[in-house]
Amino acid sequence: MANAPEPQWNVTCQCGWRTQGTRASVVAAVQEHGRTEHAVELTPGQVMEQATRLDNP
Amino acid sequence: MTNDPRQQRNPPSTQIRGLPQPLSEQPWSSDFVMQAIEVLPIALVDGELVSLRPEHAESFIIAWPAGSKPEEVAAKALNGLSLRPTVLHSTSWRHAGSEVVLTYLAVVSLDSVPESWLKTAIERTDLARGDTTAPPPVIGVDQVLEHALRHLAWLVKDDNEIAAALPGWLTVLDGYVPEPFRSFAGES
Repeated sequence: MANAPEPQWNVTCQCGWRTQGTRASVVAAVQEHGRTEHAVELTPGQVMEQATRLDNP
Repeated sequence: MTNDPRQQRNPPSTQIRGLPQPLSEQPWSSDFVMQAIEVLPIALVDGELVSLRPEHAESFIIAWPAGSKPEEVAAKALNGLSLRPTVLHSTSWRHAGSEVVLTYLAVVSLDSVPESWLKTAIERTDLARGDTTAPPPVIGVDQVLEHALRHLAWLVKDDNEIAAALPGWLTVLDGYVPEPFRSFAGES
């Protein structure tokens, strides 16, 4: 039996930048975006507050 | 920085102290076609049209949750940006990348534009045109905006409520050839 696909997430920043992907990739991308583009350090929790999961648990 | 609000480039995005609340909530998967909403805010400044856009994108595109009313998603996103639209109207759609993008034109005031957003005087451009059975191979945001303004030019003549909401715009849009909703069904 195949493993269930990993949940996917989507984040849109006020500046227009967007990212989509797995939790890990979204957290990494948003943290990097916040650090380099907005001089903001974000925790994974803060990132995931902006994200929405594919399925509705 | 110029004092002309139509040419003003706002401070860099370090002005953003943190990420805002989600502007839309949309599950995403690489396995299905995404639907997205593009909002093109415009304003009238000293009788000239000005477009607003985010610093890190050509236009402001948000996800469109399945089952949600697109106008509500667009309005919520604008509200999240503290932009209050006088008119919010869908003007075209196109296939862009892996997404189907529905475009909304939003007439707003400049009272509360996000600090990092750019304000640019709108210039005329040619529309993207395909052939009789195929879409334009490339569609620029400026061409989407051009079409949106032609659509608005049609609305201010055809829709009494929009005409009443936009006093003075009939003259401003006089040079735009009125054109109703159409699709841009190609990649951009």
